[in-house]
Amino acid sequence: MNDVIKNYIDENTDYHKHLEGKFPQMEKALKKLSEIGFPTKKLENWKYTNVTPLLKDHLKLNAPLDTADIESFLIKTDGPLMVFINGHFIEEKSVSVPGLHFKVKSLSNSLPEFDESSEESFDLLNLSSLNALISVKVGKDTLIESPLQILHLSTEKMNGYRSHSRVEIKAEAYSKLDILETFAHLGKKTDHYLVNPLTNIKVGEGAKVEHIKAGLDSLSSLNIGKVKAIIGKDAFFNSFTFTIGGKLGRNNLDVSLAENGAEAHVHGVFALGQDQHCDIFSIIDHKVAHTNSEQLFKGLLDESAHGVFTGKIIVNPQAQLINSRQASKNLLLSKKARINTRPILEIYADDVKCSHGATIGQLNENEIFYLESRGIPKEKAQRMLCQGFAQEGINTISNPLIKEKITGYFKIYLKGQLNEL
Amino acid sequence: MIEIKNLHAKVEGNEILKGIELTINPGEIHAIMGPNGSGKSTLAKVIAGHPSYEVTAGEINFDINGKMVSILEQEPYERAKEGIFLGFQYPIEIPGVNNVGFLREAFNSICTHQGAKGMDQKEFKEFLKPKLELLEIDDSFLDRSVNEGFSGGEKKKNEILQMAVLNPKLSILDETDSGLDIDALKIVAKGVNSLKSKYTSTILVTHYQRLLNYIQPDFIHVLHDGKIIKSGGKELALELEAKGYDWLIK
Ligand SMILES: Nc1ncnc2c1ncn2[C@@H]1O[C@H](COP(=O)(O)OP(=O)(O)OP(=O)(O)O)[C@@H](O)[C@H]1O
Ligand SMILES: [Mg+2]
Repeated sequence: MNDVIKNYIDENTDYHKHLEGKFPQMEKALKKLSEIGFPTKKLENWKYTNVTPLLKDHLKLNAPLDTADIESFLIKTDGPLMVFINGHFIEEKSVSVPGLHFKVKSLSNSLPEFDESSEESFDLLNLSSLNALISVKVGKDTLIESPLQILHLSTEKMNGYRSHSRVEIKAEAYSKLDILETFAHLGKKTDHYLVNPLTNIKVGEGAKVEHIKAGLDSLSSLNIGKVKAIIGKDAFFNSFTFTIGGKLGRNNLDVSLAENGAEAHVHGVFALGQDQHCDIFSIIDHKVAHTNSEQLFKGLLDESAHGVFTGKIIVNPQAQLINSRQASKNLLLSKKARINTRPILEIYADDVKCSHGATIGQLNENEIFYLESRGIPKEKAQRMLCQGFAQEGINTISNPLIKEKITGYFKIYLKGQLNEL
Repeated sequence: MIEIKNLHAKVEGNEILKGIELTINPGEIHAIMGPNGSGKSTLAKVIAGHPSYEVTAGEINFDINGKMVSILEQEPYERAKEGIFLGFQYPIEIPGVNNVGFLREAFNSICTHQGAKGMDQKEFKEFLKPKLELLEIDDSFLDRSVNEGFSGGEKKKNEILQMAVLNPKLSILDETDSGLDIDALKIVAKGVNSLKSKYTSTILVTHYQRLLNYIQPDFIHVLHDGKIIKSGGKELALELEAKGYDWLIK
């Protein structure tokens, strides 16, 4: 065990001692974590992302509670809302609506079984650090009109801390729910913290769920999280991962097409500058026949930013008649910016239509000239082209309110205002 | 309006323009003809300021507030703001950039430069209406991405729409007639003629006499191997149509 992980293990061991009751799942997770440690670049799945330097200064549990003006991160609706500040659930800011049940559950009767096969350090860290679970349920045939907004806000007081959240979302048969999960920050650019969220989504038969993750964390923070979705019969899941914030982001997307007719669209845009690093690691598992998946990830990388996209597609032997499309399109806006993009196809069935492609390019000189020749200054022309490039991605969001909100956040990037995140 | 003297330009190390002399006065329409590869589009792009083309010698002077001023050091958008418009031979498709948003951005940018007030979305739509009608362009084109998936003819009409919106002093229309059916050609000609005034000038780059039936040029120039080898009145176009270029090139 190296020194970096030791501090985390010690702190969590101590934390477990002080919990009311015993939680073997959390203890097992911690034990496993102490065995495997934090991932290193030697692991194939972490080849391009090095987390340890940023975890070296120990980030502590249980950040101080704070108050903050959260309005600018919210879509103004009377829809459901859950607010977390520095990892604490803020009940009085949260709003529930009929048809959608959400609860903050204590650890005692809601902890999931420990999965012995789990090898993912940050899943283990998450489980072993939890203080509560949030469960959201949409009943059968229920359509939730306004999007469910889950806001995880970090303030200046989060500097030096970490937070771990677990949201369990269940959309029952033929229900419909749109979710905007926002990770935002109010404070200083130098606020150094870790958010480590896990969002579990079950999409029941014929249900439609859209999940948008907006990453607007501070330029010194880490956001290492996972969205895990299981898609049922004839159900549809639309996922969009949007990142402009964070010093280091790792977005694990784990989508399982579990029953016939399940379809998932797993899209995203990351737009980075300075020395930001964002790693998208997606796995789409076609477990059964007649399942479809689509992926479009667009990266805009300026200054010394580094983007990573891994798109793993698994088609199981019994999963015939599969359609799967994957595209990774990237724009390098400076000489020092980098992108690594890799498809990983594990296809064990034969009646499968599977396409994938990656492009890496620069802004097109002729396009800039065209806009300029109409009187639009060069910088503005470049911004319009970046906007146009990202828009193809953002347009995959179907909820118009969320789409508008994300388009607005993208402008922060375009205007070069990342420092204000 | 514009004065081009001994203009030499190269692209990717090849000299394409080899001493162009051309003067255009306000109110005039000049047609430029010439074989493929002779440098017509290059001349058009050099006037508009395309960064791939390097001017190695000569001058381009343009009338700015009544004075002839060199524009060689100006960025393309500065030239556009002064009233130079290039209708592209191959208009560029720009995915994700909304056509009407682009038009308004361009319009407002030029308005601001000229000290006029820009327009908001609503005013701009009203302002566009008669222009769309004149050019028989359907509203639905406004909400699409710039030129993306437009047919050849639709792209050319979109160029003329931009010209009508920006109301330039000098319009350079590079083969705006190519690929147009006869109805579209008439519409485009109507658009160009409607903008004609004694204060504006036009350069028409074309291969065909048929456009010149609808837009009457004052002068015709033949460009060959980067130089103007013959100039004349509109009857020259008929002669070229009948005899080709061989008799001039020798
Ligand atoms: N970007 C470029 N890179 C390399 N060569 C170029 C470039 N642009 C133009 N050229 C060359 O310059 C020459 C003149 O081209 P230009 O497009 O100006 O001809 P044109 O007279 O407009 O021909 P056409 O009638 O076919 O449109 C051609 O030989 C062309 O290949
Ligand atoms: Mg040409």
